[in-house]
Parts: sequence; structure tokens; C-alpha cells
Amino acid sequence: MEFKDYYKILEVPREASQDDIRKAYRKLARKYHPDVSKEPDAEARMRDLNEANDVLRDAEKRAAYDGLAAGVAGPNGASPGPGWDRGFEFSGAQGEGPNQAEFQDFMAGLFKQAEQQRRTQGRGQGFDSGQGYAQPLRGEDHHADIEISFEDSFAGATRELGLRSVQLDAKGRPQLVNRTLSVKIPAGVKAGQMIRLAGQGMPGEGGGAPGDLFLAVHFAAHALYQSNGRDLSMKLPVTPWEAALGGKVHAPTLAGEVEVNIAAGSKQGGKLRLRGKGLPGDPPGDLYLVLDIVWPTAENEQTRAAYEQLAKAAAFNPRAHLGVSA
Amino acid sequence: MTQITICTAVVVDDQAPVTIHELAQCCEQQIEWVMTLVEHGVLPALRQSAPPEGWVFASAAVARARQVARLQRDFEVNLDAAALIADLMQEVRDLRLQLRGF
Repeated sequence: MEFKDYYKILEVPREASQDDIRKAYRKLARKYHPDVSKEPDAEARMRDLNEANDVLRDAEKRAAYDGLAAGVAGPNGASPGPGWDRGFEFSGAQGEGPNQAEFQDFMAGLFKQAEQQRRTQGRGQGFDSGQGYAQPLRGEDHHADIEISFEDSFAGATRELGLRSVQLDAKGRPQLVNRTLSVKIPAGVKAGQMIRLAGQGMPGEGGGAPGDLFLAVHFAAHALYQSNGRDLSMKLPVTPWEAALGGKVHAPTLAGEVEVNIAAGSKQGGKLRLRGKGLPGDPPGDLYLVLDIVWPTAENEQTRAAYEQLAKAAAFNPRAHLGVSA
Repeated sequence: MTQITICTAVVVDDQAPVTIHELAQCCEQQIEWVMTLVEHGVLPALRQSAPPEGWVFASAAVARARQVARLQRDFEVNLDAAALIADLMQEVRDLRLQLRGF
């Protein structure tokens, strides 16, 4: 199993200076930033880079990471414990379709968590009545991403997320703790929106309330639909005669098949709006059907004859505006 | 043994907008930093009533604030440049999304 090695991710030696780390991060961020990169795995690489940079750029977190990495090494001191290749990310469990949620800043959060517990434990030992001195502090919020489908947003969905955290044991050694969150995702959620899970962030201190967990919603690429807010759009293939003569055709929507009217004389790229057939909400989104005229090939005598007849009947020169003859 | 917790998520924008304190904390900044972003028009506040402690923010503002904070911290750019970079990145993402439809 591969250890999530932050030094390897940033391509720096373990003894790299803070300046080396900063330079390495900037260089790699330019290469892998998903907004500019052509690399296929840019998004995942950038997430790793950010995570590694968040920890290694900070001397305290870096020292904690070095210690933690050594602490989880196996008996021979060489191989880290099982599961470390997956780091401290959410891992999707159950449910159909893509179900990836990742903690962007979870590792950084872990150190805060360990730090906080150390403080709490220290306080308990330092004072006779720790509670009397403890000032309630709300736990920190956590932020992560979650990928859902349009169908999930349309109908609402329940997702199980595996969540991993580090807690210090009685002797102050870091221990991995697994827990599972069964999350009810509300219907009508849009891409880029965040959903809040109250009380699922870091535990509070001195009787303070726990923080919240925020999940930023992304839609998985869909074979049929694209989204723009709550509006969806879909290419609707139609025949030339349906476009020219008009008629009724069937189209799929998230709520099931519907019959739509194609107006006579419709053009390629023309849009039909099905009001309220997008993602639910107040107001609900619309579904746009973008007409895509598809021509049958002249593969047999009948269709060949039909095309020839059309050529004669239409006397049509699509290049007239280019100033050339047919 | 794995503990299972069932919880209902609420959409930030509709029911539970992010407070200025929560936003500052998730960017590892002070609330004064958030106020500066709002005053410079870099970040839209959902409800910008006085005093600033009552300001709340929608999802898009959180993503944007985190991006600006990261650009400032990791690339040491000033606020105006960070805002411009964030705008350009958003434009690229929007255009790519449109391209996916063709």
C-alpha cells in the first residue's frame, strides 16, 4: 500500500526548506491547476498538491505530519499501516453511480483536531477542575466535495460517506477512527451549492457545540443533460421531415417520457423549453431541448430515390450567400 | 466497529447561509478580511446589514473566498490580482461547461 507521501507529491526531498516547498508548489500548481491544465488527472493532482502544501508549508503541521507518519509505520518501521494510501478522504460507499466525496482540507483539520485534544488533555491534567477553566469553544467546520447525479438532485437521495479521523488515545498517540455518515441530500440542490450537515464537523471544546460539515455539490457528467443552475438542456435528435413539417415526438425527462410538439420549419439548434421540467425548486428549473437534425443515409434504392426527388423539388443552394453557384 | 450517523443535509443558500465568522474561519482569516473583500466588491454578501456580524453568504461566495484566500496565501498576490484571477478561472469554468453541450 502506498503511503500518501506529501514530499513525493510536491517532488521535494524530506529536508526541503520552506522556500523549496513554496517554489515546488507554485510550479506544480501551474502545471496541474484544473482550470489551465490539459493533464487528465489534473483535478486529483491539484487536490493532493493543495493538501500537501497546506501541511508542509506550516512548520508545526509539517512536524506533526512527520511524527504521525513515523507513528503509523509498521513494526519494521518501513511500511505504513493499511488504509494509508487512501489518506483521510471520504470514500464513497454503497449507492449507485459515481459517489466520490473528498475532504479537501481534512489533513489540515486533523492536526487542529489532534492539537485541540492535546490542549484539552493538558488542561485536564494541569488544573484540579478542568471544567471550571474551560471556556466553551465551538468546534471547527469541515469542508468537502460531493459528486451527485441529476437524478439525485431531482428526487433527493441518501448517500453513505465513510469518514476517517484521528483521535488521540489516552497516551496521546494518534489513532484512526472510522465512522459512517448517512447523508440525506435535499432535492433541488444545484451544482456549486453547498449543503450543511449540522454538528458533523470537529467536536467542540469545553462544552462548546461541534462544528458543521459543509459539502460542495458537483454534478457527475451525464450522458443526456447539461445543467445551468436549475435549468437543464439536452440535445433532441429529429428527422429533417419532423423539423420541416412539424409533428409530435417523444423526449425523455427526469420525470419520465413526454410528448413534445415540433413546430413546422424548425431549424438546427432551435430550442424548445419545457417549463418546470428541470431540477425541482421554487421556482423549478426548465428543460431546454436543443434540436439536432439527423439525416438518414442513402443506403438503399428507396432512400436514394427520395433524396434525388428532394434535390429536384427543393432547388436549394445552401451556399448562395457565399456567392457561388450550386 | 463503525458507528453510523444519519443526518439530514440542508442547502446553505436556502435555509442556512454561512455567517461571516464561519466564512472567515474556513478561509483561516479574520472577519476583517471578509469585510475588506465585501467592501472591494470581490465578494457578494447575501444580507449585508449593519453590523458586519450579521452578514451572511451564499455557497458561491464561500468557494470564491476560499479561492481568493489561497491565491493570496500561496502565490502572495494582492487582493485585486487575486480577484481578477478568480474571475478568469470562473469564466474558464463557465465556458468549459457550455462547451460540454456541443
